[in-house]
Amino acid sequence: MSEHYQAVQWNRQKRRYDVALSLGILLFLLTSIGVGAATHPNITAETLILRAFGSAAIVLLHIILCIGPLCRLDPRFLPLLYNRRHLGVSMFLLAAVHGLFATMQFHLLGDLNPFVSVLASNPRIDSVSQFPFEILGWVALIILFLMAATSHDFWLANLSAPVWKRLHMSVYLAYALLILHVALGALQSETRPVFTVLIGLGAVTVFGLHLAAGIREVRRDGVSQLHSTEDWMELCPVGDIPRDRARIFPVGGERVAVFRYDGKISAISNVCQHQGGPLGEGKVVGGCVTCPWHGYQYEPDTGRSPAPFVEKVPTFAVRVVDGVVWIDPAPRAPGTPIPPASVAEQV
Amino acid sequence: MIARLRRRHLQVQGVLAILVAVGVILALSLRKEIPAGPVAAPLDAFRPSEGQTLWESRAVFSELPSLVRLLEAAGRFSVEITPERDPLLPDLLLYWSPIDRSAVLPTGAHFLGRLSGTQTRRFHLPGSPAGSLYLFSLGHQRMVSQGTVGAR
Repeated sequence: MSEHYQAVQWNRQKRRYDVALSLGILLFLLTSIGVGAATHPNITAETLILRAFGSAAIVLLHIILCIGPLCRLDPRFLPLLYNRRHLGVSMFLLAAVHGLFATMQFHLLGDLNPFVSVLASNPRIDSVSQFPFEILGWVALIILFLMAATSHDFWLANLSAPVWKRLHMSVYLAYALLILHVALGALQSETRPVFTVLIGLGAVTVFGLHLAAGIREVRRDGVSQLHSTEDWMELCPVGDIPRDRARIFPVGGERVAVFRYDGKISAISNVCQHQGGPLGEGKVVGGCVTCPWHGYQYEPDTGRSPAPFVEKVPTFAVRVVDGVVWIDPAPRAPGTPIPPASVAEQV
Repeated sequence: MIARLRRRHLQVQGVLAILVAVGVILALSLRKEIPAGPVAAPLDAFRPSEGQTLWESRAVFSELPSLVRLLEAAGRFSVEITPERDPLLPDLLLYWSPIDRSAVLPTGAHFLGRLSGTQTRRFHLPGSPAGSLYLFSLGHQRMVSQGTVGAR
């Protein structure tokens, strides 16, 4: 969080993250080019570069897509999420090098504009084995470009979180297109089973993790054993909420984070205004609820970010009766102050 | 908002997983076998019955190490070329010209044929063996190498 605009808010963690990322990519590219040159002595430099960057991009995309569900399944992966957008931009750059080299190598020497040639040179859309797989790659590259170009918080703030989030969910379409790009392209001539097995394992891992995390969330949201009395719903005993942390409950079709801090109980929406991060998985730091994704903060009793920040989340009225937390399921307008319930006797 | 978005996310993942699985299975099951046949056996390097070796050298083409033989049979001259490595050029043409070692393909050079991989190829010369051989890439329109026949 920052009150003043900065293009990138560098800090030690981000620098370490990016150094590790750069070294990893460099190591992968050098290894790929070295192994390729050693096993295929007659291979051209263009083909080595094309293969190395394409492989690096698809491997990095798999890593990126696994981070989200892994964090939902196990919070120990959260440090990987912190700077995921730098992974995404790096992956786009790798994919762009691959796409441009492929276009230059196979389409530059003809009469047509090379980009027109990609679209027009192979009309066999009725064939599986000769399908123009390059087009799938280019459509995916355009999606990845839009995501990389709008990855900065400037666009998040101007497009609004819901629109930005929907735009960035198109990465799954790009991923599906890229898997088909590989299956209809490289795997048509590369018949050694190791590559088929690798790409299959990658897809199973990505979709498996997303489905597992999604099913668990839907079950949590759907299975509600809450009791209601008039307008209030029973949540849990106070002792079930860890100190300076929260438990998340499905209330009225949405998720509410109920925090216990300083002998008090407050409830706010579980959705961070920044990127929809799960506030209930964060901690109370310095009296403020802190989002585990990027550190956005909110006062638990008002749902407002501390001045001079202006973010607000909806708040909920809570009360404690006989050591049990109850909640009014009607959300208050974002930033509405609500007195916290006192649990001093339990502290 | 987030719960609805997460449910949508789950639905999208389920649909994409099925579509990708179907697409990959189709792509792999319908891929065409790449035709592969036995490589044609190279010509015999030299059969004494087909002529007499007048001269041979491995230093004719500096850019493409090859064994070059000058043969004579029944008064006709021919050259036999065996590249020692694949030139990696699909369009390597061989010309002969009485003009000695020109930097460009001489006008009126006699087209003998093409080289392919490391196969031994034999070409009849149009007349006297005195002259030079030129390796020319048609696609790149450039001289690859040249050398004089019979030079010591």
